[in-house]
Amino acid sequence: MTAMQDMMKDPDVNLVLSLADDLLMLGHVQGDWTGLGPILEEDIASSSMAQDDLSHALVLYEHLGNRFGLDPDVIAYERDVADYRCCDLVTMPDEFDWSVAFVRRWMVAHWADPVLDRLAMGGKDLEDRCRRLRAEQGVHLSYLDDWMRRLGAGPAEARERIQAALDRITPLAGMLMEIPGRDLDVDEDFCCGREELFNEWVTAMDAVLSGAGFIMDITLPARDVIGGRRGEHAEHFIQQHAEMNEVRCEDPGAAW
Amino acid sequence: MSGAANPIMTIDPSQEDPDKLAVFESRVASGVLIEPGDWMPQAYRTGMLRMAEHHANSEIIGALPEGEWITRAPSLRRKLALTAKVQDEVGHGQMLYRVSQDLGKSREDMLRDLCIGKTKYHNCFNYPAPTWGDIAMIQWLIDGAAIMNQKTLADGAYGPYVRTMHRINMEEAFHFKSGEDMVLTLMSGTKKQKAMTQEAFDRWWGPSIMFFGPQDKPGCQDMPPMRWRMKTETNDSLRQRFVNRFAPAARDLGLVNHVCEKDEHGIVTGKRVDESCVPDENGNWGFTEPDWDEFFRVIRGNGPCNAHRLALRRFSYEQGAWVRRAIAGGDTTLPPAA
Amino acid sequence: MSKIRQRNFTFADELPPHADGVMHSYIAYTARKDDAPHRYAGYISAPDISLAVEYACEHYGQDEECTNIWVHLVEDLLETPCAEESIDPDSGADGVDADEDPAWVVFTQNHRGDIHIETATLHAPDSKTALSRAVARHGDSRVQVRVVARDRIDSTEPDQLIWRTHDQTYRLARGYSKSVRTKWAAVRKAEDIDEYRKDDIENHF
Repeated sequence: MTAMQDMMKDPDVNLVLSLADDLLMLGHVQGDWTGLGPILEEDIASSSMAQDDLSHALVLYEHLGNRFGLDPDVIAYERDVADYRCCDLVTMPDEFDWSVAFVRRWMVAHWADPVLDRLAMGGKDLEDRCRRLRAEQGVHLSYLDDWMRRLGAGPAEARERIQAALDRITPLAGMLMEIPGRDLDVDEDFCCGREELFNEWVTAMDAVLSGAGFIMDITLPARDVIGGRRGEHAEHFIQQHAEMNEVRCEDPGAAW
Repeated sequence: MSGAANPIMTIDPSQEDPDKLAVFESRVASGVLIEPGDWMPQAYRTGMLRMAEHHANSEIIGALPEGEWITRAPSLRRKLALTAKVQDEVGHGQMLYRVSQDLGKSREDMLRDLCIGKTKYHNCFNYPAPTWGDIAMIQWLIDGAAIMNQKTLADGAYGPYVRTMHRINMEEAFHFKSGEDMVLTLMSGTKKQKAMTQEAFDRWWGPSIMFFGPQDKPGCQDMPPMRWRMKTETNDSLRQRFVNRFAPAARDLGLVNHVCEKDEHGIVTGKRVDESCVPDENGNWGFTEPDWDEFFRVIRGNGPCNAHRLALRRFSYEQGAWVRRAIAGGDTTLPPAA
Repeated sequence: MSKIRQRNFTFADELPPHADGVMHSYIAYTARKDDAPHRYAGYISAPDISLAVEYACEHYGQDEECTNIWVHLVEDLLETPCAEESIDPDSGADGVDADEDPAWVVFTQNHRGDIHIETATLHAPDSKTALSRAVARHGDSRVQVRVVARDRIDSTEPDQLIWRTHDQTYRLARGYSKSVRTKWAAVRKAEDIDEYRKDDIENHF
């Protein structure tokens, strides 16, 4: 078995990859906004956070790379599409609608917090890494929550756009809760309880939204829903993955 | 990365109070830096405003060709570095717009004028970046040219611009080192990588030479931009210094200096070795003069990418209007700038 | 290339109107370490000081190690005209600071073209008195003195995370210096590299 196959067979790896891949792809789509944001200072701030997300993915890939003897770039770029554990919400096209991009990253930032808390139970090395990542994701949460409140206190146009973005994303938000991994037994679960994680995530988001005057109603999907995290990715993820690999694929094995 | 002083800016000092102008010029000539509370000729204010605005526009537009490759960067480190670099350019634009804002034009007006093509930006960003090799070349050659130019701008006379240039240059160092690292990696890589890098060099050598602006007019050192230390070195002097630095470096990397013909899309259609690219007895490297007709064609809006760059910028500006409306405070008048 | 960047755009003849509302101008200063003086970093445009601080953290706070950021409205500073070479400290009047008077932060500029750096804090009943005392105490060998009421400066929290803890060398020149030197040495003579490097920027983040 290759090192990659070894890694993909390890059930705990699915949990780490679910967050790492979410952050990789969120950083990938958000990084693309750099230079195109609505306000120069906001563009700069959002790009910082996109870089954080990419770096956080790298920190988690390094952890896996050390365990299985793999180059983090190989983990990031060269898995089969079906071996990525991100949910397809993170690569859903935002069609250059800032409200959709904003609501999505806000939701994922809220998601990352309790997940990092749980991943930290995976041993000393992972604990150290997750503690640092959680502190930095906390900076994102603070910034994005503040913006949610500002937009909620803003003119009707802003409130309508953000509510419309919430309405559009909410039906897909459950994708974050898909159980990661292929060939799973029905009983396998996130550590520490799936429903508990869901409630923690939604409660934190509701607290911000209700203060801002927005409404959201996310349902916990059934355990057997099969989507991106189970390797059944939407076309838009496949396209993003191909785009990410465009240069590497021109000259496989080359150093860049 | 920077623009040189707008190459076709003219300054007319004839309307200024002659006594005050004489004092101002004497101070500048003796190396005094001008700070915001000082008396300045109106033409100097206008000139510095336009210069900083042109420079800011160049940063904002410069973010676009490189931004095209963030999603395709071939390693996480390169992806992070490219994102940070493009982010820096937005930051440089933000800082430079401030310099012009203090001289009397609002950021919103400057962004609007940029979007409709009323004000200009550096010519080199009107060329395409069709491969990853172009990203490496932009960071090596164009940022290399920018650094040479910006070091002289940091020796200028206008305090707010000088302070901004110092901060920008501190980031520019990373851009250039990252570019060197990429070019060095590619030129010690596979045959395909070397070929890609050579082709990118062919595309970017001309725009790099043109980066410093048109050939010096006779007496330019006595004209206001240099007399008032808005510029501190001539275009030709910087250009020669650039060639002296990069021509031998390119040769040692295994790159060949070509004289190229390009089509209207910026794609090289023919090339021959530039036999003049050798050092003379003084160590000055020769180079074939670029096509200055092309330079002026591109400045006037007829380059390969002008329309697309402006369109993307304008689209981004228009799409973001609701966010600016959402976040702005009440409707009292703007406070005076410091 | 992402789809948005490849799109063909069409526009109305006129740009949409200016955005309504007002933005304020703020000045940001960063401190490299705990107890290090705050140094001028740049301006921020924002609707209020709270967002200005957040923006400053993600803009100026990401350039180099930074443990604290100060932000104040441009209009909240009072400063002397910029002297040619040095302020005359006798042009100010010193006095005895009363603790119950408001605190003022003094920033000074050593030479024309330099940035302003936090120099001291004093107490004075009003801005003019504060500036006068600051000139008397700190004006010598400086070209400009500035005072800002301490309670008009917003600050990041003492242990607030600004500079990130994960590897930042990807965005710093020092992240590439060694690799670049080694790679050049493989293809160029030492004296050619030395000559080439003369145009490098020496002072960087």
